[in-house]
Amino acid sequence: MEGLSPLIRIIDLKKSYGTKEILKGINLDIFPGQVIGYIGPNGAGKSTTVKILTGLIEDFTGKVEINGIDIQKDPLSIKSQLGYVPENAELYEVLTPMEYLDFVGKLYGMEDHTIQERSLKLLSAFGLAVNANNRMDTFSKGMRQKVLLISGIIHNPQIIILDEPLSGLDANAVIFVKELISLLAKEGKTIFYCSHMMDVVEKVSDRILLISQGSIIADGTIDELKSNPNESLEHIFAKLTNTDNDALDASDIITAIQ
Amino acid sequence: MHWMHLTSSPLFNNMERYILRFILLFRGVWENLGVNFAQFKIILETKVTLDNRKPITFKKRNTGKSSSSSSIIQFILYMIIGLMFMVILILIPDRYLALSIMLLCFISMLSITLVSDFSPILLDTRDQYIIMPKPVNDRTIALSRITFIAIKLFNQVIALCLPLLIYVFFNWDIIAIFLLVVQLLLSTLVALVFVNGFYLISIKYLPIQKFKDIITYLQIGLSMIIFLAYYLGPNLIQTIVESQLTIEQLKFLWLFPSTWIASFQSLLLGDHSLQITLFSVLGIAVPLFGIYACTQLFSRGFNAKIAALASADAPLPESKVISQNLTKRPLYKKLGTKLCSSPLEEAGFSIVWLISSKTREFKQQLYPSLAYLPIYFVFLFLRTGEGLPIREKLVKLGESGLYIVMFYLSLLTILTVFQLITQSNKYKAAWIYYVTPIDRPGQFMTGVLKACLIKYVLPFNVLFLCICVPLFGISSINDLLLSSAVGGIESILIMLFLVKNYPFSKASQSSSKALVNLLILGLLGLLGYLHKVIFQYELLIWGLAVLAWILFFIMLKYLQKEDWKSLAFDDN
Repeated sequence: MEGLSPLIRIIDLKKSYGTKEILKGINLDIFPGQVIGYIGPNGAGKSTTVKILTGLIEDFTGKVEINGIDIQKDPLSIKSQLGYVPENAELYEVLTPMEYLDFVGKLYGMEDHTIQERSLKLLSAFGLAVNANNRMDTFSKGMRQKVLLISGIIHNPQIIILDEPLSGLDANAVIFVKELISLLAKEGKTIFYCSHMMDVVEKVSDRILLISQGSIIADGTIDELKSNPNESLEHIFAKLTNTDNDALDASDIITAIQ
Repeated sequence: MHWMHLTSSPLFNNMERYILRFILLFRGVWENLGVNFAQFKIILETKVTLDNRKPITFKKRNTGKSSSSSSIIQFILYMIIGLMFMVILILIPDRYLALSIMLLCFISMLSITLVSDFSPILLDTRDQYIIMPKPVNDRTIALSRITFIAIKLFNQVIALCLPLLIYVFFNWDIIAIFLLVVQLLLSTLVALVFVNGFYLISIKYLPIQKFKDIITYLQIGLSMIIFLAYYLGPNLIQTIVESQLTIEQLKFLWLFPSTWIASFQSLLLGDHSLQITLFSVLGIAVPLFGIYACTQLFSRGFNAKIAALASADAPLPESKVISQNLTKRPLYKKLGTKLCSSPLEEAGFSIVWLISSKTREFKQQLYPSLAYLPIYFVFLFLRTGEGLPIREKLVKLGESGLYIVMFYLSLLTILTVFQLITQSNKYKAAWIYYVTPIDRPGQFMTGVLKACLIKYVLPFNVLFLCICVPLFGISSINDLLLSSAVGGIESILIMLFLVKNYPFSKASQSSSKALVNLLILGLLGLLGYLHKVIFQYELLIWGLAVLAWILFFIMLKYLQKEDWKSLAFDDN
């Protein structure tokens, strides 16, 4: 990525809640078109990083710049360049997908006809066209997740932050979203992908960041992280975060139920 | 143990446990009803435990109050209602009629409580994941649900009955007291059967979405009835007492199970007529058959339907999205485009319009409070020039300017709407406001205001226009214009000073703004009174109306520019 200026630049990012330090000085440069797989154990600081990037947390030390704009100085300008799909499918379920997307589109300042045109196309692409005018409280988790995905990209953002986007999706939809991520990256979108699904992260990401206890402990392509060709991301994760004793726990459980 | 402070009152918890133990004594009865007793016992014990450990709301925790005090307050409130029931027995001399009306109120009260408070228990979709995958039959699940509700209901039944029982203890003989206890128990059973039966039959024969709608409207309807009864009840009783009416003259009461159950006392007093005997038989047979029907006939398939309520496996109706063209737009969108100056404002307009139309909790809380308007209107009409013919009454209403009171009363709606507009059970969905670039929150909130005014104030004004112009003449137009401008200004002030959150972005909770509410009510009352004093000076009213509208539009511009610092995301 030499010669390219970073799209997202994080410098010495720290965040504490009371005396507990959640992020301990993160430094990162993310370049246009990169698909970043952001992984880490529970409580490592993934969500806090995402909340800072999406402008939900404004109170932190260090610096976060997107497209050269300081997020603390002009959060609105940054928000208009971001698409965010949160982990929990929380949306106003009494609305129909069309109504919800219309609402979100307008929050991004989009015009009526653009919202409607894109909503229809995206809903069709995600297989939700026939349910476009049904209330979402009758939807499965996967269907709601699809609506959230659409709401995250409807304004054609430059950066897309996906927090466990495959949660609740069926196998076909997972394949579809994986393809979508690749295509979005080819279109020059930068994708920040948080997940626990190591196999998917391994396949879709061209750069993997492993965060543990508030610090980035690994940063590179999957090949760079592997110590041998047969090693999977799951093993790398377990090794680096010291949780490589699952087999022992599992055998204990088998003994207990016998 | 700190957590204990966050659970319900130990007094009520223990009471529930004692009731449960008592219920479980009748093992044979339960087994004869087709229940697996071991499963029934553990389901009930777990539900009672879960209920006792239910955490209280965040706000209550912050104030340091435990829910024990709220349980006691609730108990006292029900006792006060019980006192009102007691008054019915004291005031109406005919015991049969008094008991019929009292038991009707008792059954209605319990039914409303059941529908509003216990719907989540009856329709508990968590059972789908926890109980239904286990080998538990439909009857065990259905009866455990009904029994759990009955246990929960018991505290309220005790509170409602206590004043009654104390009164009859000193005034009636011992057999009549015993009979009253039986009558109250049967009435409780009728309420349980009525609500359960309604749910079971509706869910059996209606599609899931229709069922949800029916429940919503039932809840709204019942809430409106109680509101109406609250206002009309005393007058009705007064009429019965003054005219010395008997049940023979109020034949419509024969249709209600409360009258059948009440007939036991007449039987005891020696009335063995065919009608009383028949009613007494019905009074016993109907609740018992109801329980049988609920558990044996309608429970089949109930759980599967409940499961469908929470799952997406139920087939969704296919909508005609493909044929939807860009020119066909719903009313709210047309209004939004016409009335709003930016997409952001339109977003505020549409979210309030849509969610307020579709959210059950919102409608349930708002609509009963709207019911007072027609009631007050009827009252105003009846009380003005009592004894005069209708035509003269209308003349008197027009000459005195009393109709203006209605205009100002309708403005109270705004207060209720703005109190409800920020609350939602789905408040977590409000994350979207904080990740989107809302650069002018004032614009968004102006859209919210416009939706509220169009939806909840304008219809009243149109209605008043349709009623007042034919009745009181064209001169009532300026009065309406002035009062509606005052309503607009009031709305902006409430928005600015009371609305501190985005719409539907905080958990539902009872707010404690009684003082501010009183202040606003007082101010509205004063403005209404001043308006009534000067209403005959037509030109002055026209002038004031124009000035008020100008002020309203200036304030609207100010509202659009407001930065709404209070809307900031709270990371905690």
